[in-house]
Amino acid sequence: MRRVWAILVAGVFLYFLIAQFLPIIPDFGNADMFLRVSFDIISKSTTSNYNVVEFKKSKDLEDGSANVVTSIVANYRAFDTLGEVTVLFCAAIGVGILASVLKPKRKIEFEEHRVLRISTGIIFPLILLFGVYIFIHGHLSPGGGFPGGTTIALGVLLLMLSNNEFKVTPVAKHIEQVAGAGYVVIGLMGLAIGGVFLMNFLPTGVVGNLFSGGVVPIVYILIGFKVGAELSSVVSDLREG
Amino acid sequence: MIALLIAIPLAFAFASIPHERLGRYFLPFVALFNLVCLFFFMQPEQILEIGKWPAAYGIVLVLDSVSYPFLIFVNLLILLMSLSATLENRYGTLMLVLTAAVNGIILTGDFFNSFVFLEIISVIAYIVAAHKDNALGAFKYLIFGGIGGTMYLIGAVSVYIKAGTLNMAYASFITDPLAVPIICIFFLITFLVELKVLPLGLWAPDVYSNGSSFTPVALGSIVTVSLVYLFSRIFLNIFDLPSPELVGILAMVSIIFAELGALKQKNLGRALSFATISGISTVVAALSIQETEVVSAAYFYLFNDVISKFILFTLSAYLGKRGFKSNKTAGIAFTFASLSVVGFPMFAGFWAKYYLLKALFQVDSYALPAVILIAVVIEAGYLIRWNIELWYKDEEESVLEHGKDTENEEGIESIEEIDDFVPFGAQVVTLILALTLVVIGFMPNLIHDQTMNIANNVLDFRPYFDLILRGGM
Amino acid sequence: MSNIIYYVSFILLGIGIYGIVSQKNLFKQLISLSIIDTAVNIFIVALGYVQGGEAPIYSAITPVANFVDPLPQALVLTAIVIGVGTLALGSILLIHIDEKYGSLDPDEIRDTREVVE
Repeated sequence: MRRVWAILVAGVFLYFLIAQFLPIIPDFGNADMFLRVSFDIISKSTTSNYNVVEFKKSKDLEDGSANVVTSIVANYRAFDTLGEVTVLFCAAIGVGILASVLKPKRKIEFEEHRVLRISTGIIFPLILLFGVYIFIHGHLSPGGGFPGGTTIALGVLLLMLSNNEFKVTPVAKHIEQVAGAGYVVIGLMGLAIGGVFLMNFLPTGVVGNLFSGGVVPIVYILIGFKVGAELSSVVSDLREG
Repeated sequence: MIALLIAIPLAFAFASIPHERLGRYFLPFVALFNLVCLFFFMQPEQILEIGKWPAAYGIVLVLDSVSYPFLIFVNLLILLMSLSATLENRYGTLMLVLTAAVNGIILTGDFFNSFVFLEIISVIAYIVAAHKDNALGAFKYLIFGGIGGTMYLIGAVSVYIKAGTLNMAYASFITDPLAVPIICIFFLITFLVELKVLPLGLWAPDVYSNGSSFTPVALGSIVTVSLVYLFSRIFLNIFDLPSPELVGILAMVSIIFAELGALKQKNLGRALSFATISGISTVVAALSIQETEVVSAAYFYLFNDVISKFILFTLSAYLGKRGFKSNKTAGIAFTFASLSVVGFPMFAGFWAKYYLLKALFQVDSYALPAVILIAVVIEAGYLIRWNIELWYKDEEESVLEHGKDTENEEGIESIEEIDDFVPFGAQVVTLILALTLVVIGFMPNLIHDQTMNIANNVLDFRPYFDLILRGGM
Repeated sequence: MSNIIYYVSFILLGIGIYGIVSQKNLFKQLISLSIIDTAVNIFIVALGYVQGGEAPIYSAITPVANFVDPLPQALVLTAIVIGVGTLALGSILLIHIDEKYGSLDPDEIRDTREVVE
C-alpha cells in the first residue's frame, strides 16, 4: 500500500516536471546569456559600460577575481555567502548541542593500524597545505573557502581514523568565532568606509595576480578556516559526544 | 544602515560562542537595539544595495511600508520571548541567529537570498524542535522541511532562468505567461509545508508539543509571522497566487481537520498545536482571496492568533501537569488568551473574526465564513474544557505526580521549581500580552489602521517596483 | 535528446520522492532527501550550460570570456553547503532516535513508545 502511494506521488511529480516544467526552460546548452545578469558579471561591467576583460592585463575593474564564480560568491552575492556560513554555523552548534545531551557517553572506536598511523603523520601536513592552497587561490583557480575548509576537515578525519585518542580541542570553537565575527567585521568595515554593508573597499588590482580581488581573498581565507573548524567539530561530535 | 538589523545579531551570535550562556544574555539587548533602530533611525521607503551592486546584479534589502510593521512585530515578539523563555545550553546563540534570519527574510528583495534565510530558519527550527529529547518529531520536520526547501530552490532558479535576474521586483519581467504559475507552484509547496497547511503540515503537532518553553513560540509565532510576510510578498505583491480556489479549499479542509484533531487530543500541547494549524490555515485561506479588506482582516487575525498562542504555549509549557490554583496570574492570562482565540467580545479575537467575516461577506464569499463559524464552535468547546480542567485541578495530587514524573528526566531541578513554577519573566510577559489583547479589544483601530495600510500596499506592486528602480542611498 | 541531463535529474528527483514516501526506515528517508538535493544540484548546473562554453575562470588558457553561466554554479555552491548542514543535523537526530528507542524503524519505535508510556 505504501509503495502504491509512493509510486503515485512520485509519478504525479514526474509528470508535472516533464510535461509542465520542462517546456518552460530552455534546451540544454541553449541558455541565452545576453538576457541574464551573468553576462555583465562575466565582463565585470555591472556599474560601467561593457568592456572586454583580459587575463593579466585588465586592471582596477569593479571586481578583480579571475574566477568568476568566486567573484559572484564572495563579492556580488557576498550576503548569500554570509548566510551560507551561518547555516553551517547553526548546523555545527546544533550537532554540538544534540551530541552533548546524549545520556550514555558513546564513542566510535576504530581499529588502529600502524601503516595508517605512520602514513597519516606524513600525509596530514600535506593535506593541510593543500587545503590552505585551495582557499588562498580561490579567486584564481577552481576552489575557494568551502572546498579548502572541507579538505582540512578531511585531514582531521584522517587523524581520527588513525588515532583513537585524537580529539578536536576547543581551539576549533575559537577559530570559528574569530573567523565568523571577522566576516561580519569586514562587512561592517565596508559600511564604515564605503557606506554600504559588505562593500569591497580594497583596490582590486590586476585580474589573475595573487594580490587582487580586494577583500575577496581575505573573505575566502576566513571562510576556509571557519568551514574547516566547523566540519572538524561536526565530525568529532558525531563520533563522540 | 538597515543591514545592521541583520549584521548586529549575527556578530553577537558569533561572539557568544565561547560561553554557553552568553547568547542568552545578549538576546534581549540585541532585540531592543533592533527595535530602537527601527523606531528612531529607520523609516520606511528605503532600500540598500549590498556591496553597492545595482539591484539586478547583487542583493537588495527593502524597507517599505509592508515590511516595516512586520519587522517591528517580529522583533517585539523576540524581545518578549527572550524574557519569557528558559534558554539553556547554547539555544541563546541560536535565537540570535534566528533574529538575524527573520529580519533578513523580511528585508530581502532577492529570491535566492530569501532561500538562504529560509534555510537558516529551517536549520534552527530543526534544532529547536529537538529540544526536550524530541528527536523523532524534529526528524519528521527535517524531511518535510528538506523537501520544501528544495522546491523553493527550484522555484528561485526558475525565476533566474526566465527573468535573467534573481531580484524580486525584476521577476515581473517574465514575459512567458505559462511560466509564472508553474514557478509559483514550487513556491507554494514550500509555503504549504512551512505554514503547516494540513496534508503537508503533519509535522507540526509532534514538534510543537515537545513541552519546551520556546519551541512553539519561536516556530509558531516568530517564524510563522515572517513566513506569512514572505507568502504575501511573493503571492500578493510580485506574482499572482496559482489557482487561488484550490489553495482556499485546501486551507479550509485543513481548518476543519485541525479543529477535529485538536478536539480529540488528551495532551494540552498537542491540542494547542492543532489549534495553531487551524489558525494559520485560516490566514492562508483568507490571503488566497486577494481583496484589500480580506487581506487586512487576515493580518488582524494573524496578530491575534500569534499573540494568544504565544501566551497559551508559554504557560502550557511551564504548567506541565499542574493547574492554576496556586498561580492565579498565569490562569488569568491563559483564560484571556483562550477567550481571545475563540473570539469572545471585548478581546482582540472578536474584532479579528468580525472584520474577517464582514470582509468576506462583502466579496460574496460564503464558504470560508461557514468553515470559520464551525471552527469557532469546536474551538470554544475544547478551549473551555481545558480551562475548566486546569482551574479546578486538584493541586496536591498533581504536584506530587508531576514531581515523580520528571524525576527521571531532570532530577532535582524540577523539584526546586515546583514552588514558583512559572518564572517571573514569563508571568509578566504573558500578563502584558493578555492585557494587550484586552486593550486591542476596546480599541481595534490601533491595529486595524495598520493592517489596512499593509493590505493596501501589499496588493499594489508599483510602489515596490519604483522603490527598487530608484536605487540605493 | 539533448535534454537527457534534465531527464536524469528529474528521474533522480522522482526516485528521491519515491524513497521518502515508500521507505519506513528513517535512515533511508534521509538518504532519499540527499538524493533529491543532488538531483536539484545537477539540474541547476545543467541550466547554466552554454554550447561550447568553458569553465568561467580567466586564465592563461582562456584569457578572454567564452564562458558558461557562472551564476547557477555559485548558487549550487551555496545549496551544497546548506545540504551538508541538513545532512549533519539529520544524522545526529537519527543517532538520538536510535539511542532512545533502539531502532530506526517507525513500527518498532511505536512499540517502544507504547511500552514507555
